[in-house]
Amino acid sequence: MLSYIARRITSGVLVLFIVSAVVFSIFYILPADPARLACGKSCTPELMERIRHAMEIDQPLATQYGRFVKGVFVGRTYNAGTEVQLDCAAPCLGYSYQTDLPVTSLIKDRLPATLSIAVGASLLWLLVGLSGGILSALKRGTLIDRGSQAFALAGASLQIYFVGLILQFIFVNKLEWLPMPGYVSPFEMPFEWAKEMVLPWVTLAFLLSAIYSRLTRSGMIEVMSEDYIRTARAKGLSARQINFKHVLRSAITPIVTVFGLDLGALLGGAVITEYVFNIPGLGKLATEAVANVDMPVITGTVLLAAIFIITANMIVDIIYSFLDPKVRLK
Amino acid sequence: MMKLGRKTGSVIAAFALCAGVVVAVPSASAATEFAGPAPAVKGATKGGTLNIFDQSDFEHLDPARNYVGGALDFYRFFTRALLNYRTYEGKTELLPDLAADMGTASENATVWTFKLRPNVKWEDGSTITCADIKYGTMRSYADDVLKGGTTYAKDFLDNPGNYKGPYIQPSADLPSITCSPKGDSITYKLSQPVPYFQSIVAYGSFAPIKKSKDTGANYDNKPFSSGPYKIQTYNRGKDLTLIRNAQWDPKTDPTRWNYPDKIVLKFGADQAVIENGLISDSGLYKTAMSLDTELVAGLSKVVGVAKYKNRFLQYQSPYSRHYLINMDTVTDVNVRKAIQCAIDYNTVILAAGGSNVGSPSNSMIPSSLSNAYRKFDICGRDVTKKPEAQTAAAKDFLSKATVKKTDLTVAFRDKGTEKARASAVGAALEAAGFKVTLKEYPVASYYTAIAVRGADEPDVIQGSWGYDWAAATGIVLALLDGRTMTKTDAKSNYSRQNDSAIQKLFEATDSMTDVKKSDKALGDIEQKTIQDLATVVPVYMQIANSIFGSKVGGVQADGGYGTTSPAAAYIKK
Repeated sequence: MLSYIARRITSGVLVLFIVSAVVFSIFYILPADPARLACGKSCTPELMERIRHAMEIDQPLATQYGRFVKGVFVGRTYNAGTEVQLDCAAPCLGYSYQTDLPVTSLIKDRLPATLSIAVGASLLWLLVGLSGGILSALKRGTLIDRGSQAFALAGASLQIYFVGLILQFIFVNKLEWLPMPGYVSPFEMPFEWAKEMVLPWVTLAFLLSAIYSRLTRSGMIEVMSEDYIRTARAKGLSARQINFKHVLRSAITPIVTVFGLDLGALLGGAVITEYVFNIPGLGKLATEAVANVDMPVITGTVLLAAIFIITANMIVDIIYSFLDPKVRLK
Repeated sequence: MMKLGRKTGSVIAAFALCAGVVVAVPSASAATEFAGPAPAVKGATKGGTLNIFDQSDFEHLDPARNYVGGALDFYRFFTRALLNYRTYEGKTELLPDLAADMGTASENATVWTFKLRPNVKWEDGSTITCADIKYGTMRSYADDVLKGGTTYAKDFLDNPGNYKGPYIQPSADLPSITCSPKGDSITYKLSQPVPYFQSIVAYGSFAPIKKSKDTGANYDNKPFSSGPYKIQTYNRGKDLTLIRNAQWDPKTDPTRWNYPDKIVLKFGADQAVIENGLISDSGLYKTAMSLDTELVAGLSKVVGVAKYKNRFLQYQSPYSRHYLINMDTVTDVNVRKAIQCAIDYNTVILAAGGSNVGSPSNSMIPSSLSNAYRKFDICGRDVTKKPEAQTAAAKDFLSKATVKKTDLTVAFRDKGTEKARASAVGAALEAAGFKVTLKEYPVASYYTAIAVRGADEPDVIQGSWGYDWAAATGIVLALLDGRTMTKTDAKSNYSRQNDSAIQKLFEATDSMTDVKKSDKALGDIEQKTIQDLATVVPVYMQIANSIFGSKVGGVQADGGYGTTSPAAAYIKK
């Protein structure tokens, strides 16, 4: 197991190098020049060159990338020897072209909001999806099954920006049952935090539970027809033991895979959710950075998203091996 | 002489619809003391929290970097300058702020001296000195670190020693700025006559900065206050909270108010979310407004409806929406005149949102600049009376062209209604016999890309402009003076205008120190370039539509920077 984890971490680091190199290269290909954008309207060629030098983007791509990688491991210094020298401790992801703030501090600042959305919503959609799927599988063909699947279909068909705006309009603007969604620290104001997160959680859960419900239902139905389940029934095991210890456990493996991917992606930034509910998370940070051609922030958020996805995949594979004894980690 | 205005983006230029609104500049020779406080706003009471919901954070709040209307208006809550605009009961005046007078010009407006108010304090209780004001300007020379602001200090101040700013020349001086021995006046020596220098010193590169509080590029994130409020917290892209600055004395400030106890801004909400919230007037929206969100989807719900009347603000801004025709690529004047005739004002304004969003205009100069504005025909008709396309006339001009360029690229930004407007123009041009390619550019790089000369130049450029100060020099020089261009960069002269006869007229305005005279001359130049050269097709002046919460009073259209302004806002009890 440990050697497996070590190998996965090593390959993950390699993937991160490739991702960061690709992001750098794409940035170079972009037509927009961040120096020109930052220069403002009263821009001269001489000023633009000075800005490019101050931003350290007048260096060859390979040099810039090398300095970036060095900064991640040992830190780096900007504008050395001037009155505005900046020391950036490792892991240094650079300074935002837009705000002049360290990228790591921007990410740290935005991460809790995204974590709040991702963790809360994922637990809720897992609960709703699994419950719905189990109920549908056990009550196959009944009104409960049809109702559950209709609910799932609605969730799969609708979009976050539609559902989110409608729910806000009803519960925040009209009924005033809930406060405006946003983010406050759960450690400072836990009740406020939960109230402001309800709508994003419910919206995401409604939309994403659909696939979990369908997967659970179809998986359980398939497993329930297996010979060993019939044997278990014949042996006199209770329905509860059969359904949860044997059927669900076998059916759950694809759900774990999908959950890992979904959670990993959401941790990288739930862009639309954050925009609809005005939650200042990583997704918003990333899209704002793209709009502003803020390369250090783009690189930082892309790398972080890649880390989440790589980690989620690794954890999923490990959990898989526990759930299915036939799977051996090699 | 290069003058630049404010492009759209996050800027909304404000100007009241009432004919009586002008920007008044008291005589430069008046030496009267302009004492505070600012006159009381009718019905205003102190207290409460004003909430502001914006789609995006300010680009910059550092005075040396701030060049966007909404931010220029807002940051006056904590940034004072030598002079400042005050809009009160529909009238906008430029008044002394840190200065005690409007300044005295001498030596043909190449030397300006301002008396300074005594005992004006920073938020820490220390006095704002002449040295602070000088340092604020010196610091603006470090424009590679403090990127993005106006360059008026560098453009106009004499700089024989090639001063480059305090970060790379910490011991050097900028001798063109001198403080009197007592520190009670400041004198600027200019490199050229600038008769409108009073308007220039209202900008942040002439605002004071306390040297010990200067944090370079990071000053953007926590400016040190000289105004009625100070920053309590500022989380970039998320929120900003202002609380009262106890050191601000209203008796020293005839231009500001401080009615709310607190001002809380939240950034990042979607346009639809803010619109719905303000219209529904629920929860925190009751005490809220927005600086950068105009009514779009919700406009039809609100316009003309009695229940919204008291919290709906509609005003004509000096923001012109127009089309610039690239003289480098569309070389035949008959083709350019054909384009002028082909454009349908109705469809463009409809695409923008209808008559509540814009009114047809023949000029890029707002009618409020009465010395500069001209009423003239475009394509032989009054566009306010006959806004529809003159397709027959367009075809006629096209048939007369010797260099028949009929394939046109129309450039526009990926923002709001720009695509719809560009499509309307494309359709009108095609009806006149042109073949049109619409080319969309990302917002962030639009003005850079369309200014590039020599490669991939668009033929027709969708543009907009709002003046930096209320004079034609802030519009016509920036947009039409051929001297602003280089071989590779059109700068703000997107039509690449460089006609020798027109340029002679521009040169004649350089020595005009009388603003009325230069306004008249520049108004004539604009008319010539539009009618004779056909470089521009002005289409409409923007109308701004804002809504605010029912418990908010004092929201107004600011005539100085062109925004829906919270400067006089208060929370109703």
